[in-house]
Formats: sequence, C-alpha cells, structure tokens
Amino acid sequence: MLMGVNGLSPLTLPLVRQLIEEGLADFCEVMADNFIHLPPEKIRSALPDVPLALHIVASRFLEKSFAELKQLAAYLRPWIHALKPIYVSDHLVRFTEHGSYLPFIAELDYDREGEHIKKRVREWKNLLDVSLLFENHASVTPRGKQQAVFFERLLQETHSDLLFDFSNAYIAEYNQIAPVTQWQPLMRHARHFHVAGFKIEPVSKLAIDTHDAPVEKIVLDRMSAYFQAVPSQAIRTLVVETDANVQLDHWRQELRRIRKVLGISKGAA
Amino acid sequence: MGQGPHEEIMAGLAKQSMRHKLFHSTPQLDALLQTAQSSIPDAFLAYAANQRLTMNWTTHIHLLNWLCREPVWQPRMTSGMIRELLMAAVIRWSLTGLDHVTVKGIMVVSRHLPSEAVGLWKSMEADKGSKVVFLRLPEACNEDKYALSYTDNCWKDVIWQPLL
Repeated sequence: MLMGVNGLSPLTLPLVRQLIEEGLADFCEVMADNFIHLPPEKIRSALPDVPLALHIVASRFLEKSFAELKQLAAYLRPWIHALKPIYVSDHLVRFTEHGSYLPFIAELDYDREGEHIKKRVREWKNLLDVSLLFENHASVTPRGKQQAVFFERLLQETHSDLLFDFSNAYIAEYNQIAPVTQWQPLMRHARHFHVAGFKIEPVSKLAIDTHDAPVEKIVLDRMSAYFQAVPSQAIRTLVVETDANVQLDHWRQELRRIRKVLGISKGAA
Repeated sequence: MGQGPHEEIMAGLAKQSMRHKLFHSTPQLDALLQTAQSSIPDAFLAYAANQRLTMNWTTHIHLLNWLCREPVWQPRMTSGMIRELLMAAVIRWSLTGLDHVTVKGIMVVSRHLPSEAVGLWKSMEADKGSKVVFLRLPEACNEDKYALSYTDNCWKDVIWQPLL
C-alpha cells in the first residue's frame, strides 16, 4: 500500500515534501487545478523522484461545451503525459446550474442526467487519452441513493475506474442516504482510495465533507477491516486528504495514526 | 439527521455556504457585518438572484457595487474594505485554474478605487504561493474592468475588458 498526501496548492507543497522526506507519505496527489499553469518540469523539480497522482477537481467536464473541453484537453494531455501519474481522477458533480455557480458542489441527478454523463465521460477520456478514475460523492441529498448503482453501470460501460473515498461513503451513510455496503461490489475492484475528516453541521446535523478535521475513528476502523478482509496483490494507494487548517504537526500525527491502524510501516510500498 | 423538510435544510446550508464564500476572505467587511447586525447577506443574495448574477469570481465586485449603492453602507465603506473585496475577487478567480490554464495573472480595477488596480500573479514555482499585488494606475479610472497577462510578472500591452 502506498500512502499519499494531497498537494492542494503550491503553498502546501513544502509540507508535502517534508512528509515524503520523513517517510510518512509515499506519494503526492497533485490537485491539477492549482498547478496547471506551471510547466510539468517545475512540478517535477519541486518533488524530484516522488510518485505523483493527479486529481482534477473543477474541470466541469459535464458542463462545458465540447469546444471548451477540447481546448482544455489539448492543454492537459501533454501535461499529464509528462508527469506520468499513477492515476488521473476527476469528479462527477455539478458546479453550475442554468449558467450560475451553485453555493456548493452538487450531486448529479443520475436518473435524469445518466445518458449525458456517460457520453461526456467517454468524450473526456478520449480527449485526454488516459484512463480515468471517478470519486464517489459525499451525499447530502436523496440523489445519493442512486449513486452506487449508477457508478457500477457507468464504470462498466465507459471502462473507467473508481476512486473510492471511504469517508464520503460513510458521510452518505451517516446522512441516511445510502449504506456503505452499497459500494461493496465496486470496492472489490478499486485500487485507489481516499480518506479525510468531516464535520457535522450544527443546525441540519448533516455530515459535510470538509477535509479539515482528523479522520473519524469509525471510518478508520471500517477502512482497516475492509483492507484486512479483502487483501490485494495489486498495488493500492490511499490518500489522506487535508485541505483546510493545514499544519505540518497535525498532518504528521494523522499519518502516523492512520499507518498504525492500518498496519503500514513507514515507506512500505 | 436533522428533522424538517429537506428543501429547508438545503436552503439553510446554501445560505451558510454563500455567506462563507462572500465574507471569509473579507475580514474588515465581516467585522462591520458583525457589529451592525446587518442583513447584507440576505439582501445582496436577493439582489443577485433578481439580477441573475452568475456568482462566479466577479461576485465580490457585484457586492462592492451593491454596497456602494446602498445609502446605509456607502458611507461606511473604507478603501481598505474596497481593496479587500477586489482581493477576494482575484483570489476566487485564481481558484478556477482549469478555466484559464494559459493565463499567468489578472488585475482588476473598480470605479470605487479609481487610482489603483488589484492584481494576482499565479505562482511561478510549484512550491511558492500566488501573489496579490497593488498597482497605481497612471490615470484615474471610473469603470470596472479587468486585464489578463499571459506572461509571468509582466504587464505589457494591457488589454482591458469590461468587468460586468
């Protein structure tokens, strides 16, 4: 198992480098949005010899026109190829509605938008000329009830893969949208994983994917039980995501805690 | 999970998220809001909905113009708060990197800060952050506009575009 940390922006990259030098992280999952303006060699020189993965957050590939998408892909394709990432991932979410940005990223209406999503996934993959992973959403609305079933069909029909976020699945369960067990058929095939902290919003009591708190013990325990129950010969990766309140000591402590629970020794690939 | 109609819960979350987006990077304005017990968020969001604003990176500039039109708020707007709102706009712009992959920097000018531009240079190294800059304009400006640079740290042959 390779354990990674997310390279959210150039500002946090020195911390990422430190964690890798200390052997607490094995690779960096770079958020493409915040590095895309830099030539790949600048990223490489900041993280020499470090395995990289690429996480695309706001490509808005489901919302942009095909011409816009083609233009973006023409820029991204050589950039991705130059960095030789372990994987490239994106999100199946909605940022805008009727041309206006939503207050927060919204889950898709899988029933209504299903065919469009599948078509766009195929187009985006072809334009980028890479295999893509899609991350499961931290559901707060009833739309999430259909998510796992839709992902199963989508991944099969588009030959894409799952980036399974344990905490997002737990959030959907906590919010009484869908149990984590709905993901079991897909999890067995997943090789790349995410985990992060979340918060309970005090008024609605909904769990919200905030990436600003330690990973909940229950999530960690269930993740550990899963990895023990489904051993894999293939290389697996797990990224511990921290987006807000990024402090080296906290991050270090968190990685040590997760390594201990999962029984992963430092630098053990 | 909380009780009550789902729509109500989601509307509450949306309002909370919008409020955070509007004020988390404008501490001076946020402080004014706290002391005044004001209804800026609700009133501005109603205006934004009515005007069908896209709520993209220009939202803080719309907010600035709205505040400067409101008789209650106009006298309380300081140059510090105006600068803060323009900074919030360029920072928000910088977070949508996949919408302008070849652009290196942006500067915006507001009619409410006529002799100054607020700009942002994207990071030039993978381990150094982006940089907010303030530029003195050669002559006072009385419109809202922005310019993009496709070269690191270089404002040459500036092409202004109307902002709103």
